[in-house]
Amino acid sequence: MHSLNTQSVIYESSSDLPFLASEAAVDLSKILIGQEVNMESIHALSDLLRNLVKKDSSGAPLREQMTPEALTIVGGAVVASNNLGSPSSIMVDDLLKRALEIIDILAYEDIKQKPEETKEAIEFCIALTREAIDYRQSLRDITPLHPFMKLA
Amino acid sequence: MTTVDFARLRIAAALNEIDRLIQSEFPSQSSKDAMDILQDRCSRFMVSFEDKTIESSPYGREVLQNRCEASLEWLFTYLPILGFILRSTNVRNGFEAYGPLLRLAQSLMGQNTNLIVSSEWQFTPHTYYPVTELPGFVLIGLPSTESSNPLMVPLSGHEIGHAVWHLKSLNDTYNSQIRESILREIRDKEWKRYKELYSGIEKTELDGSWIGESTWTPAIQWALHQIEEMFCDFIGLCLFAESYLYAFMYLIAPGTRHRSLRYPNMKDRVRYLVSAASDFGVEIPTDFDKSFSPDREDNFDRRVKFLLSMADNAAALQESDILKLARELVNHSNTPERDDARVNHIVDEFKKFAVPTADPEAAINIMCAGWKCSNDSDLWGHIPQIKPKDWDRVLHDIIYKSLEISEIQERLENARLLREREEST
Repeated sequence: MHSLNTQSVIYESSSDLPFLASEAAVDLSKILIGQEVNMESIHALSDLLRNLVKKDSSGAPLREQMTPEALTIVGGAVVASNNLGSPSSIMVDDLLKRALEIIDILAYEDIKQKPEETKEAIEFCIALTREAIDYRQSLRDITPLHPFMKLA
Repeated sequence: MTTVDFARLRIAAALNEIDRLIQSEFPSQSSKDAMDILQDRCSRFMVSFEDKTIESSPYGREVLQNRCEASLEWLFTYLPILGFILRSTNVRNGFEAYGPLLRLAQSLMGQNTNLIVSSEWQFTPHTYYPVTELPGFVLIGLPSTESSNPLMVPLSGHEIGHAVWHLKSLNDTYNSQIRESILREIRDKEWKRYKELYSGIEKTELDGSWIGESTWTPAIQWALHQIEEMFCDFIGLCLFAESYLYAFMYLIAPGTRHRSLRYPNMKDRVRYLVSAASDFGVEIPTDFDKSFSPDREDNFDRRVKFLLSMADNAAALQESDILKLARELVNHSNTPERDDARVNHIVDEFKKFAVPTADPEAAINIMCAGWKCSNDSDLWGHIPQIKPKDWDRVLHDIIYKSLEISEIQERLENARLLREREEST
């Protein structure tokens, strides 16, 4: 069993998207004001997203290989954080290309030197947290615990 | 008080509760470890809420708000998990089955797999997997009304199947085939029907447009759930042979006629099981297929009905592939196979002498023997001391004892082998 005392073990183990995305947003916002921050939550989020957003050898997104859940959450986060306007004109591949750009930003070692990208990453992480939460809540709506149970 | 204050107090309350729960006695190290991990994760939120420097960032207020939202979602998600872990310590649980089930899970998923089994207040057996904060942990819930009935243990095979499905990322494996199958059917065969339901979408928008795809991608999700359920039934059948079919009948026949979007129609589910059992050479209970009623679908709206038919067709196309996959995975895992001679020997011990097995036996053989005895209408007619009204209770006790004896013998044997290896080095 892993020791729970080292921060690296925490991020190595968690793949909880709302937890990681919100933690990364906090850490990125601290970077923006020049604070020293452990990059592990940010990089762990980048790694998690790389597993969700599939791409081919040329780096182009492979939306046919992404699960509906991943498409909904990641695509929704890009739409929300980029003010993309009317959904009827949006192409999925464009959303995923943008997602891949942000995933690369999250993997930077020297993100401190790139305030504009840091802001983009923060906005994305906030939107990602919300899309992931919304998706989980929607599953709860579909599968209520009991037919007599009414939720607050 | 601010939103952050409320969030901080909620998390503090959760941490206090976890502190109390950690004082419980845990039947397995897995339960204790899970509790420790969740305590650690929860405390990470507290770190954010107590960090005053965040507020001075240009995004400080927004990220704190976001962190509050995430912490609330964490409580919604993990409070039930904490409750599950607590209930796994209840003496109601059939702890005798834990060892064999853990070994099955580890054979299929790796030796580092942790298992938590709990007697739950939901009639449907269920699994929590993956629990994103507890990687490598499988949580299986069995109905509490059957906690003294070991003949339900085979249903855990299906639940382990869910964990295997996700561990091996089989959704990823089948996603593009299912997707292509549904897209092709809509475009090439069902375009007229689709257009009646979604008049604003052109054929060119079906694939690639955010709006166009969103009209039919629920069918992909439903089809993936269906083939997962198919896979889990096949895993249950591989791990427990006919005892899985009997347990399935006991639990769910005749069904409720309600069609779930996440399962094949009951008539199809039964057909898949019968076909798989024939393929594996597993005995099919008498009138198995006649014991289940088909699910209703006439009460769905037209769009749901349409998408569901797409999902059903896409799932059906994967039947033989899923069957082959399940069989290969179990074959490669070295889990014990059904042994007719051992099953008959166990039946003899149970029936003739009303005693547990003296020899170490595989769970599959104990379960199959158990069901043979349960189906024997004259099980202990020759032992008048055991009244017929007590036959079920006595049989259940004997089966649990057999699992326990086998588990102890297995552990003693493993300890002996380990000692021998150490002495030889």
